[in-house]
Amino acid sequence: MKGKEIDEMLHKIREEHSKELEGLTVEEEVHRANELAEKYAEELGLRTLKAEDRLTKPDRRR
Amino acid sequence: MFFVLFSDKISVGPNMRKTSVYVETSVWNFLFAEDAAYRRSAAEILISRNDIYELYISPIVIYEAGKCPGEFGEVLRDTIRKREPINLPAEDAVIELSREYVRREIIPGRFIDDVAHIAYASYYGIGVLASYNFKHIVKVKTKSLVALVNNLLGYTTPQIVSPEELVEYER
Repeated sequence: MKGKEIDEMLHKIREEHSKELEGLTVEEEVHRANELAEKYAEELGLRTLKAEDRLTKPDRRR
Repeated sequence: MFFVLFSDKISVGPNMRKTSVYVETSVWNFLFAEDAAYRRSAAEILISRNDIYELYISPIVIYEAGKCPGEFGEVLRDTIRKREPINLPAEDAVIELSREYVRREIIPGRFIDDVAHIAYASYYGIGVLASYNFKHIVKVKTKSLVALVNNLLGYTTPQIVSPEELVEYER
C-alpha cells in the first residue's frame, strides 16, 4: 500500500469514527472506548495500564 | 522547565529509564508503506527497540487498527500484537481534555480522533507522541496550543514528533 493510500484510508476511518461519536456524552464515550479496547485486548495481546499504576507510571500530572 | 520535563522523559545510554512513547496509528500504518522507505525505516526502529522505548497506545489506535481492511489490516494488527504496547484506558478526564482542545480550536471537532491521541498522551504523562499526521498533530500550531492548554490545566505536554525526530540511526 502506498503512503498516500494509507493516509486516505486512515482519514476515512477517522471521519466515520467522528460520526459515530457525535452526540455521545463523556461517560458514553468512555464506556464505548474501553468496551472496544477490551474486545480487542485478547486478540491483540494488549496489556492495559492498571488503575494502581496510573499514579506513578507514567507520571500523569505534575 | 522544558529541560526539566525533557530530561525526566527522555533517556539514553545503558541502565537509563526507557522513553515512553505514544505511537499514533499513522506510525503503525507506515510500517507497511511501499513508497515511503525513509518513514518506514524510522517507524521500524521505533517499534523494534524494546530496550529504549516503552510503547503506549489507546482505544483510538485499537479502533483505527481494527478498521483497517483486508490483508493490510491483518498484518497491522499482528504487528501490534507482537510488539505488545500498553493500552491506556479511556477515562472521563481524557475525553474532557479532548473536548477542551476542540473548544479552544486547536483541531476541528470533526477530527476528534486526532485530538484524542494528544489527550491520551497528555493525560497519562507520556513523554513523546510519535505521529506521521502532519495535517493536525505534528504541527507547530498544535504543539504550541496544546502546551498552553495543558499548562493551564496542570497536565504535562508530550514532545510531539515524527519518528525521524526521535529514533537513533546506526552511525
